[in-house]
Amino acid sequence: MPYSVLILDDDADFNSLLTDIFEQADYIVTSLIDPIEAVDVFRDTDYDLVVTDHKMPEMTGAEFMKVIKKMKPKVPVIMVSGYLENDTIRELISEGVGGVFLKPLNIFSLLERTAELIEEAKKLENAPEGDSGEAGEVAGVQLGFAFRSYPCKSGASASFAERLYSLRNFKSTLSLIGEPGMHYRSICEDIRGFYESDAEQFIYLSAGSFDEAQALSLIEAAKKGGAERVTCVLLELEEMDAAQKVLATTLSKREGAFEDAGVTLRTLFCVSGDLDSLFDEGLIDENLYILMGTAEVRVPPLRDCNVDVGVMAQQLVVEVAREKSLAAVPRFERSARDLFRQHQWEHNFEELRATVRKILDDNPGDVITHAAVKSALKVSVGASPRTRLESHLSSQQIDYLRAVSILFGGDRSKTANFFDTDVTAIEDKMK
Amino acid sequence: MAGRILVLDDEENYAEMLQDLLRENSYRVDKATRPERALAQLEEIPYDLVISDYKMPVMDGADFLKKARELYPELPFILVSGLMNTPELVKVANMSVTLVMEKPLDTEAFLRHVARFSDPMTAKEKEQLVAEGQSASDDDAAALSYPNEPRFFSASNFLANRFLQSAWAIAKEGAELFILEPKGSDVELAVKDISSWRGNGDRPVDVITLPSSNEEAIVRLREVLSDFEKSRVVGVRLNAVSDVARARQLTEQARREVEESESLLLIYIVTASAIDEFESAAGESGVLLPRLCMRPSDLAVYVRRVARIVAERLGHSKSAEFTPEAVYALLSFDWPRNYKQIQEVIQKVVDASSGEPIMLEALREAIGLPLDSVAPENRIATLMKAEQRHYLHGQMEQAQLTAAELARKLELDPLVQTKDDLNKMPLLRSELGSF
Repeated sequence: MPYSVLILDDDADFNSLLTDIFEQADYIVTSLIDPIEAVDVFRDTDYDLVVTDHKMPEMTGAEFMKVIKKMKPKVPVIMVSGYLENDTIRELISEGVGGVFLKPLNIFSLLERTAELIEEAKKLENAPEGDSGEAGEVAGVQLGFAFRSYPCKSGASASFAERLYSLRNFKSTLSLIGEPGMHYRSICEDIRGFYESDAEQFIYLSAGSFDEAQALSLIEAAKKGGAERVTCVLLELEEMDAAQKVLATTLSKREGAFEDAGVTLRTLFCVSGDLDSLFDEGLIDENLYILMGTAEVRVPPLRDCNVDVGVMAQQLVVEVAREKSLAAVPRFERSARDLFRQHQWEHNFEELRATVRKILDDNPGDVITHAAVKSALKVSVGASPRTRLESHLSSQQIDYLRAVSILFGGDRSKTANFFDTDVTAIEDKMK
Repeated sequence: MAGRILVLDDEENYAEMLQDLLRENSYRVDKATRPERALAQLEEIPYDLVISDYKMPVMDGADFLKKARELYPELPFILVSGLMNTPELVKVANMSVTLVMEKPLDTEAFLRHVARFSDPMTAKEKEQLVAEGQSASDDDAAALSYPNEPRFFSASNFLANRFLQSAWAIAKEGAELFILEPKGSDVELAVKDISSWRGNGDRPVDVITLPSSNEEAIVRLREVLSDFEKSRVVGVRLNAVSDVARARQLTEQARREVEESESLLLIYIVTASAIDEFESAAGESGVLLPRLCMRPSDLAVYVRRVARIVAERLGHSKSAEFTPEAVYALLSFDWPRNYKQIQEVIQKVVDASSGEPIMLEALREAIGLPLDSVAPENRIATLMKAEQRHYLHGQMEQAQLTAAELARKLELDPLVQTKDDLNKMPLLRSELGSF
C-alpha cells in the first residue's frame, strides 16, 4: 500500500515541484499552501509523513510542526527550507523533527530519509507498547510532611511516620509503645512539628520530676504562649512511682486538678515494653492499661530499619562532631557502615548514640574504619560455622528475591506472584 | 529502576563537570573521553541516554551517533557542543539526534531534558549503591572498600561483593593479584573495573595467556605497555595452578625490567583448579570468584543486560521479558559455563523471541538440557535447598572434609553421615523456605 504524505509550502512553484517528486516516488500526496488549513486537514486525516516549508506568512514551519506534533507525535516531519537559522535547527531538533533539508534540494537524500522515517515509525507502531519493565519499579518513599526522628528510608519507619501523621489529631490519648532505648522525645517533637500554629503546644513530663505542681505550671506556661490545646507527653511511664502513675491517670482523664485547666488537654504516653507484659509485671494498673490501650502505635525498633540506621549514624556523627568542635566531620568506610546496619541494637537509639560517641571519643580521624566500629560494638570475631551457614542462607534467600525482582524489571506484583505470596511480604523482605 | 547515562567528551574536565552535575542530581553516570572506547562500553552496558560532545578526534559526534544507533536504534542521544555550523546541524538533524545543546550549557534546561530520558536514583537505590551487598561481620577487619561502583562487573550479591572487596584490597597498591575463576566467568569484567580504579580511566585492558617462558612474557608485556593508550593493568591467564610460582617470578622480573613498573598490576587468572591447591599457591594475594549460580542477583543483572542489548539491537522497543517459568529456570539452572553461557543462551533466545516474552521451552532449546519447573509456592524452598546443597558441597571441597566431619562441624543432626544424607537434609532454617 502506498504511503500518504502531506506537503505544506506557500510558494506554489516549489510546492508543485515537491508534489511531483513525491508522486513520482509513488506516495499519495496532499499539497496545501495554507498552514491553518493544513492543521485542520492533518487533524482529520492519517498521514505517514509531513513535509513543510519554514517561511510562511501565517505561521512558521516550526510553529506548525509544534502544533501537529502535539496532535500526533509519532508522525514524522521533514523541514524543507531556503535558509534556516542555527537556533531554529536546534529548536526543530528538540521538537523532534525527522529531517532538515536546505535548498538547493538533494532530492535523492530527501526521498531516502522519507522512506527511512516511515519505516522507523511503522516499526514502532507494530512493536509492543512502552517499556513497562523499567517503569514498574516502586518509587522511593515520599512523605508529604517533615519527619526527623527517623530518616524513613526503611519501610517500617516510613509507615510508622505515616501512621503518626494520620493519627496526629487524636482526641484524648495516644500511646507510643516500643523497645527500650527509643528516642521518644524527638518522635513527639515530630508530632508537634505536624502543626504550624502556636495554638498547639506540647509539654514533657518524665519520671524524674513529674508531679501535679510541675504539670500545672507547664500547662499554665503553654496557655500564656497562646496554646488552645496542650498535649502532655508522659515519658518513661514504666519508671514512674505509684503516685505519679495515679497522677498520670488523673491527667489523662482530665479529672481533679486538671478538670478546669482552661485549655483542651490530651495525653501522649511513651512506654517501653508491650502493655500486656507491663500489666502482668504490675508496672501499670488496670486504669492505665485501659487508657493506654485505646489508641496505640508501635515504634519500630532500629533493627527493622537498617537502612535508616546508616543515615542516623551519620547524622549522629555530625551532631557529636559539632559538639566536640572537631575540624572535620569524619565519614564512614562502607564496610563500617554495614556493621551498623547489621547490628541488632537491642537498646535502640540510645545504644546507637552511645556507640557513635564512643567511636568519636577515640579520635578516629577523617575516616571511621570497620575496625573502629567493630571494637566499639564488640562484635564477636569468630562466628560459629553453623551461624555462618545460617547467615549465608538468609542472605541468599534475599538475593534470590532481588534476582527475581530484577528479572521482572522491578515489578513487585509479578515478583510476589512468582513466589505465590503478596507484595507486602516481598517489600518487607527487600527492605 | 534508575538507568545509567554515558557522558562522552574528549575534554576530560568537561566530561567530569557534566558527570558531577548529573550525579548531584542523583543520576547514575559513567564518563568516557574517547568515542571508540565509549562504543566498546556501549556494547557491554545498556544505557538510557548518551550525552556527547560534537568535535572530537578520531570520530566526531555524528559518526559516534551513527555507530551508537547501529547498536541501539532507539537510544536517546543529546549533543552538547561548542559552535556547530549549519551543515553540521542539518547532518545530525537527519540522523534523528534527540537534542542539540550549545556550550556554555543552560544547566536548568539541560536537566529538564535529561529527566525526560532517565530516572534519577531513588534515595533507596542510592543507599543501596553506597552500601551494596552485605559484607559479613566476620570479614577481615582491615576490609577495604573499593572506590566506586563497578561499571562492568556485577557485585550485587554479597559473595561477589566480598570477592571484589578482597580483590581490590590486594590490587589497590599491589603488583600482582591471583584470581581463581570458574570456567567462562565474568572475571574479565572485574579486571576492567580494577583497571579503572587504578587510575587507568577507560583505557583498554589486555588479557594475554602466559607464554611458555618468562623472557617471552616480558617481551609481550613490554609490547602491551609501550602503547600508552593501554591500561597499566594486564590480565594474564595461567594454564594451570602450577604456573603460579612462575607467575610470581614474572611479577618480580617485570618490576625490575619494565619501564615505570610501579604503576603496573598483573592480574593472574587461574581457571577451574582445586581450591586448596590454588590457596596454598597464591596465598595472601589470591581470591576466589564464586560461580554465577551462587550469585542469583548478579546472574539476573547479566541476563537483563544481555537481553536488553540484544533486544535494542534488534530494534524491539522494550527489553526482553521472561515468563515466570523461564525466570525460575534461569535461577535454578547451574550454568556450568557461567557468564559466557549466559551471554550465548540469552543472545539465542532473545534473537528467536521476536519481542514476545521468553518461554521455558525456548530456554530449554538454547541450553540443550532439560530444565526444572516448580509450582510457585514451592519455588523459594526448592531454590534454597539447592543453595544449601551448594554451600555444603563447597565446604566439603574447600576444607577437605567428609560428610560426617562436616555435619559435626556444623552441629547437624548426628544421623547425617554421607553426602547423600547431606543432600536430603531439609532446610536448616525451615522459615527460609517461604516469604
